[in-house]
Amino acid sequence: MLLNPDHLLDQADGLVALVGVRRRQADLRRAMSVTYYAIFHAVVTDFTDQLVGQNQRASEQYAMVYRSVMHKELSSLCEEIVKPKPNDKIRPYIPIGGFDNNLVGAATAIVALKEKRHSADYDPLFWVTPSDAIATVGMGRAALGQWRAVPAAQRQVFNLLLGFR
Amino acid sequence: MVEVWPVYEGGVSAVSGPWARLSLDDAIALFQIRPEDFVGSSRDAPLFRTTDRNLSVFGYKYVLIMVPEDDQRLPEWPAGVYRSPLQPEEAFDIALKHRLSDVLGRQNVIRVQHGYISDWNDRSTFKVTVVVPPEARIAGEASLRANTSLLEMASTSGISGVPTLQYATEDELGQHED
Repeated sequence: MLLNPDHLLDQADGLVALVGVRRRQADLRRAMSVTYYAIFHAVVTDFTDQLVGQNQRASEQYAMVYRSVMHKELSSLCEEIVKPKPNDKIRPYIPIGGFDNNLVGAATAIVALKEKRHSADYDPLFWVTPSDAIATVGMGRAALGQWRAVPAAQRQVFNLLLGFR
Repeated sequence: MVEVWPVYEGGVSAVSGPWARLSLDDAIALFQIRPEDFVGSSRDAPLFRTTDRNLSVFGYKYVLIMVPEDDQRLPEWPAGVYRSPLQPEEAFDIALKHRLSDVLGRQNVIRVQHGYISDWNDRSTFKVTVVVPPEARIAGEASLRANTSLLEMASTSGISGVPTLQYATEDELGQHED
């Protein structure tokens, strides 16, 4: 059963919701981490659906491809997509007219959220403010919407770059 | 629009991008330039960047304001290059606030502060804290655009690391206990 990105964001919303007491760092950090994973799983699901097929989601082959996506490779690709001048490995595959704004937005979120997720999960000095946690979850929701609005042809280019460059 | 450029010292033309683009009136007010700060025309602009420069994030020496012909206001403000009296550190905060206010809404940005960090790939970069009023509501799309703006700024400034953006009220900045 695949992770539902919307459910992950609902979980994040619950962790940052004001409940009359000061929100704990454990909850705020977890919200940041969960928000990253919401967009991560949305992107990886799309990638695997394209390579293996949506009707194969219960297969071992699907799981193998799904698990092959590395966080670092995904964020490296997204960093290039956001740049005004992507590197030579990416440039030949940029669609005419450039990358879609929704794709750039989703890529930005992946890059920014991955940094926050690392800090939230591993940095003992990282202090999360409620304002930042709320804004981060909001950014995750916006990014998920933008990812889903990326035209199919551009998502195909993205997925091919993710898998083979 | 006039442009705000950070400048090293040396003999190679700068290849980075401006920190901010804004109106001449805003540039005069925010970066404290005066007509006598005129350095020269754009053709003679001392945009230097030495190849043996200090590779820390802020090895810049000066801040220049580039006024194009479309924005000149003769005779007091001819097109060309003006040197701001502000130090790069202070100018960077001002440029950040201007840039992020455009995206987040001026009512949502009280002030901005930055610091130097390494990202999780050990690359030098900067962290920006936007101090917001307690009633601020930063929309998800706006926060996305703010992060995009920072990534672009880092990229055009030759900074390879991923900058971090966080929001805090004044009260939240003072809290460090669960």
